[in-house]
Amino acid sequence: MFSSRCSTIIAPATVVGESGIAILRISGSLSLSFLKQYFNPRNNTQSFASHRLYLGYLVDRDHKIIDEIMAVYMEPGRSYTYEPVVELHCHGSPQVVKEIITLAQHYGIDLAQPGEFTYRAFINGRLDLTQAEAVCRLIHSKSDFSRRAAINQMDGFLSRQISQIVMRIRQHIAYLEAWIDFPEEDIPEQNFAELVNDIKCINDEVGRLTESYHVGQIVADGASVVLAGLPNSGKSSLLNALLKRDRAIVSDIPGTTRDTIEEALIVNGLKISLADTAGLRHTTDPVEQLGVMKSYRKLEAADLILFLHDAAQPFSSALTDLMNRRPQTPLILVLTKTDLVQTVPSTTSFFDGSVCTVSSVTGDGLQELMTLMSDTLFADFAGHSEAPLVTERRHYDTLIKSKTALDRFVENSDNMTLDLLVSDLRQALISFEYVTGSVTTDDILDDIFSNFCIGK
Amino acid sequence: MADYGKKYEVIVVGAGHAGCEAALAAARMGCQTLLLTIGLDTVAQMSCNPSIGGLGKGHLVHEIDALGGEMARNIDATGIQFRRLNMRKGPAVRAGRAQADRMQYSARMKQVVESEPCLDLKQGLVEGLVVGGGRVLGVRTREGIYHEGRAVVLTTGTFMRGLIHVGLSHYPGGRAGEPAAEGLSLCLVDLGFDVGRLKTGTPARLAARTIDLGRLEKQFGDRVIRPFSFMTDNIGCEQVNCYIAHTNEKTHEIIRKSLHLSPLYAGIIEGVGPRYCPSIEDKVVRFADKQSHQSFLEPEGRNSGEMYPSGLSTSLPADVQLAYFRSMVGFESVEIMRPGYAIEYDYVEPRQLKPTLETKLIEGLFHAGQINGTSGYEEAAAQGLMAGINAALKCRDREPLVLRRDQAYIGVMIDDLVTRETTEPYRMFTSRAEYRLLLREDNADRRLTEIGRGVGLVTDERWQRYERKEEAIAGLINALRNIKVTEKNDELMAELGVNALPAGSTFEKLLKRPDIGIDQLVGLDDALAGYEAAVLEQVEIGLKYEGYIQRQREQVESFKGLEAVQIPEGIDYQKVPGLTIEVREKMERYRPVSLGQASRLQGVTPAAIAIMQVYLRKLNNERRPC
Repeated sequence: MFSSRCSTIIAPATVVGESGIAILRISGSLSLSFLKQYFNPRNNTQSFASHRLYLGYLVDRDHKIIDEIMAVYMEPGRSYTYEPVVELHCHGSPQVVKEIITLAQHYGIDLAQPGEFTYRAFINGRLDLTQAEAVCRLIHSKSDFSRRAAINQMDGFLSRQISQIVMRIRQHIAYLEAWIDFPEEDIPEQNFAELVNDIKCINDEVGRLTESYHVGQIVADGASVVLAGLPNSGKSSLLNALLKRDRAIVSDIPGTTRDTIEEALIVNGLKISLADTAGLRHTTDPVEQLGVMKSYRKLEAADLILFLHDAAQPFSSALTDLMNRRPQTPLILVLTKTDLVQTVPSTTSFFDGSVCTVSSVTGDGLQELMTLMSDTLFADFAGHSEAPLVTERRHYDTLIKSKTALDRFVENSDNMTLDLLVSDLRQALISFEYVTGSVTTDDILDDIFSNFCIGK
Repeated sequence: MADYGKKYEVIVVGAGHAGCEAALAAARMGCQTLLLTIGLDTVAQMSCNPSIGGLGKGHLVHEIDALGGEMARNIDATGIQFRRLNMRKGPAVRAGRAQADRMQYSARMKQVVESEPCLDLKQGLVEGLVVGGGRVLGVRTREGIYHEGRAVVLTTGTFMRGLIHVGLSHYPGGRAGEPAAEGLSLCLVDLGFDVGRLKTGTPARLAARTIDLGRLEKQFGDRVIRPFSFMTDNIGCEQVNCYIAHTNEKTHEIIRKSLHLSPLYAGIIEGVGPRYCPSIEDKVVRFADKQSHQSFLEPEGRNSGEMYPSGLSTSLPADVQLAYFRSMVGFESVEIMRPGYAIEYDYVEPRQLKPTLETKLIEGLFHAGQINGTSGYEEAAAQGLMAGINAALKCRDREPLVLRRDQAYIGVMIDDLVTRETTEPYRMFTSRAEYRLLLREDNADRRLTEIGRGVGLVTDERWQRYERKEEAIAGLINALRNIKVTEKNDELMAELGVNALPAGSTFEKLLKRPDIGIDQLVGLDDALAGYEAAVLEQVEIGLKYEGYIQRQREQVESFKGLEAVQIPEGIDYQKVPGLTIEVREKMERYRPVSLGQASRLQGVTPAAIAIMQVYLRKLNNERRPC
């Protein structure tokens, strides 16, 4: 899968061609000597202090300058992989990056496999599995929100939350196991109903974490926001205004947009994929029909719908139709073209959701709309923005599995015997193993012997 | 050295609970077997509490029985009080426990051993092993006799370099009043074994007539006795009572004041004792706010004047023991007949064993019981049985027998022994079994009789009994499936307090309801009549817990994949890329036989297992001819 661990590896740490600066990361025993061989620092030093930036030229084997770069050395034990690491900050040109990698390969450095740095960090005990995955997310995510979610997890935020849950389950198991394995010892009576109650609380907490997966997914992958509305309600104009450039063709002719256009943008730090759709109307034009069908499919998967309505027009049934179709999806009613009307019509008689008025021409109301969008997307999450977000599919699976077991415990606590109930609790504990590492029988026995005086 | 002349196939050293099972198994499988013991009068001696069974342990006894061992029948024949524990906590965690008549238990086992045709029981203290070419050839005794054997099973109990502590004085001994074996563990060290030191202890034995039993709470045996052996139909003996006594603050005060006289606290004892069996001084120190500790007072026999006070093992001086006993209610004028003591002894690190209990270092040498760092008669007997079986199989050039963790507590125990660090004497608990719902006392015969039959330990009589029971179980399940709930049953349902089921539902479905027991159904239809209790029980448990049992079976299946991946014996872990140093050291230390075993080593991460998997796959591909 990966190269041998004694080898040295190199890979770009940034997406090549996307930014002005590219960072190349080298990890392994050859990293420092490679730096000394091909890097001429401005201050002519030959000893590189850990975690200090040095300016200088990177030269090739013929001593010809490849690029002016900044270099940093990180000593073993203090680097991401725990190995000696060198990072080269060069200009973002793909040509430069390619030349440096070729130079490194000549020097005996391997091109890293995807994820190999994280893998090494993990293998060297630098990260637990949760953290390793969070780092992968960090690398992939580009927006602030994602980074915060990723950083939260990397600090073990989710791990901590789950560890606490695991601790509580463990305590209950230890008690029940002591009760089972030492029936003749005078183990203090505990109220079984109270124990069941606490398991119920734990189960609710797991449930809340599970629900955060959806929000977590939005943070990591971006939310899907779909512009919908009657033809000529100003969807394409709003798209262009939000993107601050002309992406969609705008005309006065209803049905101009026939295909779905998707663009990524960042709203208040949140990654959003914004889709402009064909206007929702009955049409005989076969091409436009296809577009309308596609619009509906897009709406199915939306995290948020912006329903646009021309403020100068009377309201139609299109909005209520859509709300009936997608009752679970949050929706914002956007009254457009407000620069063309005197008064904004009242919507309170048929709509009690969020309403926003904008003019794509003047830009009035755009900021408010963006705030409303991010607020709505995070509505589930409001109030505990520091709570961990579940962004990994695997963590989600873990939580779902443990929840299934806990549900079973709660459901059966009245009519099943202790041996079965404990097996549910143990199952819940095992489900968490993938996140927190395994809890062995020895750990449980430790709990028992440190809490109860047992002995014949 | 005098050669005894007779060529044995299996030689068993030590005639305790492990040794007797090992020797009986080997002999019953047709091997010429020699059982050597330091003292012929202490065969199957109960050195500590006079009881067999309890949680996990009772399970082991049933398994020993199902495989064709002797322990269950021995306790059924010599028990004087029987109780089944955890009756309300579920079938998987119910366990039998019996008080034994200590002398009778030992006497009966000796008789069984003596009457086994292929088995010679002899007195002799083994000083060393005779080894050649990496194989065991025989043993030599202190008396200067050489016994030749193709396989040797060591069951040394607490006898190897045994050191008895009473207060600050100590003397060599294997058990109170018996000599220690000084030479054998040195011989094992010379052969390259890692030998460690453990400690255990036992309480004083008290004169029954000097205790005011009238002031103590009585504990009775069960009204209906459930035997340990699947071969015993019923036990009708008259049962004796146990009593429950309590320590008090005064007792604790005496103990606290005398701690400096305890070899444990004075730092004289180097061996590690078990946490689940702490001495009373340990309990008083570690659980300082507990005002009273409980003790079961167990009679040592039907006609014995001695009583065993459980939970009060100690290494304090005899006068302190007397003082603290006399501080207890009912014990004001008690007399001690034998003082309690602690004993340190040598054990051999069990990671040097294969899962067959054969040592990795010396071919043909097997270890069982306390030499493997375990404690308990049942744990010892179970290992003895397995070592005896595998020694015999080896002599016959047959495939060894290794029980899996999902098949038996025996499998759990031996796997634990060969994969985990020994930090204290190992005792079985049901919580050690991840597939606990599958490993019940009640189904031990269904799990293991066929296996016992396969190795040749299950007699025709036992086998027929087992087959009859299986047939009955199948018949009863079939009957339940075919009986439909009819209108005529409705009245009865109402009588049982059950809501009417949809017409056409079967009795099988009815029985799955938590509020219905099989006893309530048997009277409702003639097809259900005449089944014995054990059959009814199997069917009821099987149906009621079907969902749970099915889930555990699925877990077993998902785990079998890793178990099946064998790791080649001579693998060079230095050549496995990507393993952390810690994991590499662990692997080299234990040399697991399968990825499954490797995955259970402490500190071996899933990532390491993934790496191993990749490496082994690569290795296999390289080996495969193009």
